[in-house]
Amino acid sequence: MLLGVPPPITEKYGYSCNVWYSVQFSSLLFGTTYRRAWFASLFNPIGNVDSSNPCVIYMYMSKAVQQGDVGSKIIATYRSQLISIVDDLLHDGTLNATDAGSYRQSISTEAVTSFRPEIWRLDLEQISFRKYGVVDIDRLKRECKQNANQVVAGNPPQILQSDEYLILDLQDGEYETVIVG
Amino acid sequence: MYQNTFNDLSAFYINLWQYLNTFFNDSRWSQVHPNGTSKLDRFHLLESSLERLRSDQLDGPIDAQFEQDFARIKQMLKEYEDIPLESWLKSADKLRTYAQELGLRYAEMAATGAAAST
Repeated sequence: MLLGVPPPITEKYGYSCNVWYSVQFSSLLFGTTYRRAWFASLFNPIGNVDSSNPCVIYMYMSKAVQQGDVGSKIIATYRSQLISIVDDLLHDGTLNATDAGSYRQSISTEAVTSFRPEIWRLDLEQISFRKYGVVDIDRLKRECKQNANQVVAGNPPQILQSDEYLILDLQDGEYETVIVG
Repeated sequence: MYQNTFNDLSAFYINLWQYLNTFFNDSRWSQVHPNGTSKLDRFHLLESSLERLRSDQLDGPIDAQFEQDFARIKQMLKEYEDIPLESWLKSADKLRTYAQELGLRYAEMAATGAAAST
């Protein structure tokens, strides 16, 4: 052991993969005060399925965007999700038909480059301090695990992954975009 | 006129796709819903989009097609408890891919129509 053992990995961060265009659209529809983000405590949690692994999502998205893959299934999924939310907001009366039509048009024709992925590093210490007045990462993770479980449990046969969390009130300044493109 | 119809067709198929997503693990992280929507709520949204589409009073093969696709998902839901989950999910995934492709194609057609009319 010439160099000793590596230091433990800090638990103060969480990692989330998001898509630039979806983030912008979500800000337009819901504002930027509280963001919703799925995250894992590791950048590459291999125990999770690929679709709940920020590193793998990033790789797929980045490849599709760099290749300009207009037929990419993963980009189609992000487009579909955005159209779906516009339809839901039209249905519940939050959007009028004119705005919904204009948003749908924009989503359908948006260039592939706008779907570039971003890795966010969430500062769990800062978030827990804002929420509880003390730094309590374990409590924050319990709360975010519960949020995630509520989504999954209501939709069988989905299975919650071992390193998978959902925050519903992420605020600006509590995360940093550490990888882009 | 066609733009609204294409949007309604797109909404029906995107709702079908989104409803089927509730059975799979792979679309959670891409969702932008602020609080998520339950499986039952999603089915009601699918039914609402079907009603809007029916009110468009389309004729011919398109009308027959979406009615047939709705009947297909209802039939699949009846079979959910009776066949092995893996087989059911395989069929559901095929329908999900088909619904997404049609939903996006109709959205593109609506967008093209809107661009041409401005």
